[in-house]
Amino acid sequence: MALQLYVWGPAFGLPSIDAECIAAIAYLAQTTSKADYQLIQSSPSAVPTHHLPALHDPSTRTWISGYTSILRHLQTHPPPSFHDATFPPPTPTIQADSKAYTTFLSANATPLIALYLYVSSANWAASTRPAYSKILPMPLPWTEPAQLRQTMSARAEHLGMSSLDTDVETEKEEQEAAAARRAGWISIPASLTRGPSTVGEVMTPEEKRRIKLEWLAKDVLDVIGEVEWAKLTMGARCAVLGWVSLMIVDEGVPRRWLAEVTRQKYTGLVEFVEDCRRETFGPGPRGWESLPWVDEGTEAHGLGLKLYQRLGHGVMYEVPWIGEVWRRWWAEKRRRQVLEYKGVKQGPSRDRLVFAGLGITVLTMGAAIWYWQTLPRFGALVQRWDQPIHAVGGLGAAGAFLSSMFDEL
Amino acid sequence: MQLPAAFWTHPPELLHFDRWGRRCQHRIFRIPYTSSTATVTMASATATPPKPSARPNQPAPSLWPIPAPLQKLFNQFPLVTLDPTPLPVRSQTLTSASDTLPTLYIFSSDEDALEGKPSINPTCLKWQTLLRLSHVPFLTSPSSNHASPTGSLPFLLPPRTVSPNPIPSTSIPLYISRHTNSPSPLPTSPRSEAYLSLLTPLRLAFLQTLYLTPAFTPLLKKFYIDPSTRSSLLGTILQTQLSAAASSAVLQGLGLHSQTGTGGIDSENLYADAAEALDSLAILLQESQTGWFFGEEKPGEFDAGLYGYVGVIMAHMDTPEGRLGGLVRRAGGGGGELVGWWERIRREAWGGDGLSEGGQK
Repeated sequence: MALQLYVWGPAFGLPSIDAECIAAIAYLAQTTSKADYQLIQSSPSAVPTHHLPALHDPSTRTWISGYTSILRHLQTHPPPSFHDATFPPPTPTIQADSKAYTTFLSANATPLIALYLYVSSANWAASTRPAYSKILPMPLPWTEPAQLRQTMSARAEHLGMSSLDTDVETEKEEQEAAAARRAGWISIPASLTRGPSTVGEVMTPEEKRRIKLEWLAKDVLDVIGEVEWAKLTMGARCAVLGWVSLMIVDEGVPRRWLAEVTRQKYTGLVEFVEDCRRETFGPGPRGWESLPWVDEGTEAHGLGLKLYQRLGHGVMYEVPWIGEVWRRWWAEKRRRQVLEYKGVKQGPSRDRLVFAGLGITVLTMGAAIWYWQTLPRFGALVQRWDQPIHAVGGLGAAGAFLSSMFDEL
Repeated sequence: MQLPAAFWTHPPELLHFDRWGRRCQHRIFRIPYTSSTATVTMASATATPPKPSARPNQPAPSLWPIPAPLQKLFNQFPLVTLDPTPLPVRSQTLTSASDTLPTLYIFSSDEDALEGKPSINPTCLKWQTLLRLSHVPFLTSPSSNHASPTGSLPFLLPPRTVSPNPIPSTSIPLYISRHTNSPSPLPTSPRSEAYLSLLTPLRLAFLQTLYLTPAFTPLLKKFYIDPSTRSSLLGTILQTQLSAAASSAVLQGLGLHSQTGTGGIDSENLYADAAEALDSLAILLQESQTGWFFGEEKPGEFDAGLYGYVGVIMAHMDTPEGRLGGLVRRAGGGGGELVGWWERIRREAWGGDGLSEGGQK
């Protein structure tokens, strides 16, 4: 049975929206005949490894995710038509260099792409988010892109450019304004304030940070711009195709700093990547459409139900506190499934224990709440005075006289 | 005009009269417990000059005098005067020697730091090795991230007589070049940048081994938890936090959501990636004629950076459960380049006097 490669769907005129996925598709397209593999457009929630690209090899019953792992698997368990002219590498130096540059791309170019397409609010809203909405089946765009943005932002966090994410800034300003209003400060209505008056106020965050951004891009591009990629292995060439073709994406992107820097100063690299793309996917701009794409729906019956299950998980992840636990539990469960499917013996599952514990907790809390409800409310009267029964005492002065008479009797 | 008799006996600046024309007596009080010589002059109105005391230097007789035998007994005390308690060992070195030597704050134990033994943390070991390789004398002191101005160890504190400003680890190469009269470090070549990124898979595998492998929990406790707390409850909490932080770092490095938990980590792939990285580094080392990376005459920052990981791995994780030790030994097709290189650096930096054996006992 053919290998199945689960990847993010196409966007920006590229076969995938993710650099690793483009690299994996390119490698398969260059080394393996179309009969031996299928490309399935998917999302991380559909695969047990929670990460794309993911390769499912039915012959070894394994799930492998990540570009280098897929490469390693294809080289150690080659499909029948597999042919990579650079494997094994001609010299150890080429092997070592290829590995080093591939690692460099995945470690240092990914944060740049994250800044460019994910952290920057304008680019995210105008191009990346719509692209995800196009490639994900219907209820999933509600949950998955937001989580992906979180993950990608975390990968670019060490570069210290979170100010590109103006959503956070705007939210903070709104909160401050609301707090000022509540505290009773006089606020000037927006219609009466003047527009931006200084150059700094007119500039976008990307323009303000342009020098720093160019410097960050230069750090990475100086290294990969000088490499003779044609001499390296196929794996390294596919990697540079994947990462750099995303770095030079500019159609529909409002703030194109990364594409501009790359195209202006590293023409050799861009030319190489363009050539490599034509060579891999055919001459046309959308040559990758002729690759063996398979619809996700025909693979799994009841796709609609599965989509809603995936949506349910996505919603659960967003619940504060519970989401974290849920994510961990689900990942652990999927991992056990994969290992069992592969035939690896597993220790006893702790799910029952967890559910028993949860049940006991819920029962205890329910009982506590019920007991609480039966208690009198705070401020409720503990003593009650009822109106005395009307006896002769209720008849005014005469009654008092009469009752004292009765008492004496 | 009749001047009072005291005018002639007192210097005029000390002579005061109150508003009824009486002469004021001046008393000078010295404020106790202050080193300054400030004196307070207080004027008290007295009509008569003070009588000269009969016994000027004798204390005034107290109301109930102590009986002589009792006084004799009390005079025996204290029987023994103890020596002042010495300062803690580490502060003794710091106070005596840190006037002339810089101090590197690292993750270590009190005893190891006193002897300048290798740190147990890869980043700390990197800078410690670099300083030792460049023969800059320095002291080491055990510390924690909370003590660091940058939030992470190591940092270098120059001699107290020179400057009070700590030097973050990134500025240590500059410090070395200033203090050894060597040329300032050259900007790194693109190729070395690329090879430097190979430390990323090595780091992920290292985190997986030390923090997320149950077999290494005792080592983790010894390294990071025991120096911080003696309470078992706090230790457990600290260990959980450390493991959670490590797992989210590994997940982030793999491109997964950082809260996926250990279920998302495929440790086989981590070790396979680390093995490929070590292989590539061993191949790079084979190319070099000098025995150091990139054909340098003497080991530099790149060597120190890799030694940070390899040193800790070979000293503490070269056990059957620790797969990284085996990976280092087998790197580059079993030629033992990395092991040979590791021993060379150890000799170069620690003089081969067995200081780095400390971790193996």
